[in-house]
Amino acid sequence: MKAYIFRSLIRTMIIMVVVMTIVFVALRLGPIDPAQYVLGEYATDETLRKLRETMELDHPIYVQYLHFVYRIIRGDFGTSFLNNLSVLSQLLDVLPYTLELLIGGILIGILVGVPPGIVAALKPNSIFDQMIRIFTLTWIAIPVFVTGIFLITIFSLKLNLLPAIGGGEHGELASHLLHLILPAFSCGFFMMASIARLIRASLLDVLTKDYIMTARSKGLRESVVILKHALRNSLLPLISFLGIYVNILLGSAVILEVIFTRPGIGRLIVESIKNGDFPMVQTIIMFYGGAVVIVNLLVDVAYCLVDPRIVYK
Amino acid sequence: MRRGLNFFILKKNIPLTVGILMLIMATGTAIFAPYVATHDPLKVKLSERLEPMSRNHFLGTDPWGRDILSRIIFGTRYSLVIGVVSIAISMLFGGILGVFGGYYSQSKLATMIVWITDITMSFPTLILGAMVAIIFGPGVFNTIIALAIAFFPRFIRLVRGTTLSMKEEVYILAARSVGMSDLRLLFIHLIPNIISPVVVMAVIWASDAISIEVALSFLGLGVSPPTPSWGTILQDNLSYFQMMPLAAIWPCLAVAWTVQSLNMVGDRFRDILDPKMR
Repeated sequence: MKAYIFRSLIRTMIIMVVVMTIVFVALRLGPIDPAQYVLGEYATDETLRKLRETMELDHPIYVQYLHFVYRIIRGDFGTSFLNNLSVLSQLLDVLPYTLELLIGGILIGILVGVPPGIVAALKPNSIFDQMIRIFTLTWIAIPVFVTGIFLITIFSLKLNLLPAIGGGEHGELASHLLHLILPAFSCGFFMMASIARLIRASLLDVLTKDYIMTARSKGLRESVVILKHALRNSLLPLISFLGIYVNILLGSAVILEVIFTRPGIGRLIVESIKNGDFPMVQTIIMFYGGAVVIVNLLVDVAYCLVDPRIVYK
Repeated sequence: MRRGLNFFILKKNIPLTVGILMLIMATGTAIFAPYVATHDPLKVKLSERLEPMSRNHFLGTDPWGRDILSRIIFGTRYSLVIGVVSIAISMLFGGILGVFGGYYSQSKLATMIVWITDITMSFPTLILGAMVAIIFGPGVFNTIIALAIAFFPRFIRLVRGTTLSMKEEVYILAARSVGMSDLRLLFIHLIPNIISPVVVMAVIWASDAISIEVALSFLGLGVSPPTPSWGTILQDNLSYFQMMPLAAIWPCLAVAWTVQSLNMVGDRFRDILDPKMR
């Protein structure tokens, strides 16, 4: 296990270095000129040249890259082209908002998705199962931003119940939670359909296993059989599903943060992409890559803890 | 067997029939857009800006006085074409790499292919698309390329996996032992056998591609503004969301309609191909 984690971390490091290099080179070979973005259309050639010098964009690309690597090794991710603030501190400022959204979305997805899945599996092909199937079928493909816009229209414009803009007052839990409800539900609804479907399929599969028959023939109460024996085993695929889904969730967070004008990593990267803020884009891309790999590693570990039969070498 | 089966499947499978009908309507709208639309989607008329729904403008007008319905109808063209073409390109190249990566799974090239897919798959597809989009710049053609690259790794992984498991089948072994050349074996036996699950996944991913295209255009990284894509329409109308919430909901409905139809069709066909999934 330890060796497995160690090797995965090494692999992650290599992947990060490769990604970093690709992003670094691609940004600089692309058509974007950050100096132009900062100074606007009417900048003179002289000021543009000077700004490029301070941005270190006038050196040959390998020199820029060596500088960049040297600074990364010392833990310095550079300063933003736009406001000269440290990239890392800006990223850490908005990170909690994105985490709130992701965790909220996952919780809602599980809480609202698992029970219908169980019910559907316990009574397959009943009317309830059919209803859930139609619901999941209609909801599984609807993009998050569509759900988001619908929720804003209903709950904030028409009913005036919930705020639709911003991430809440800094440091106030109640305000944070209130602002979180709509975006988290948009995120959660999207997951809910897939989770309900997954739980249904996996519970149906588990219920045909021999150990369920054994449990029943021992005379255990049906609720114990379902909750203790069947459900716990059927939740296993959910863990690996969440690992795969983190990727999709991070993508959804980008668009939700823009629609709800929430502060967050997603909105930060969109704005930096639009403004040609290279250091910010590089750092966030690395963050995404690292986050997904680490979550997948955690999923592997969790799988191992939950199911002792699985051994990683 | 195939000929009798198709109609039977349609009759019994309501979601599939509904999905196909929805898809036909969307495609029809895209093809006959100039005949269906009531106004010129690009004509700015500031005297008629932000009008509510009326006889003249069925869904009202946007902040520039353009007819929203006509813009959405023409947007169908862009969104469908971008989604389908990018997925087709991605499927072609991803498929080729995937087949070779799976068939010659021991070679150095195959290991490299796996590495590249692993790296790219660790990013959200939207971010991948956005990254490629900024390198190429905005525009319809560039968005297609960006999406094709963003979906590329998914196809490689899918095709590679299918090839790996298909390679062990007895008929492949038989063909090889008869002395069939690798290339001939690939094109006559292997590819025809993996093509249908891949095409089905391509249909489902086309719906993803469309929603990502809308997201990219909405963020200002895809199709550039005067062009009527659903994403740009959404972006235009969302700025006046408080005044006219419906104006932002119409393009959303169009996205939901198309994405839903593609997903229903793909999903049902997947079930038909693989009865175990039911």
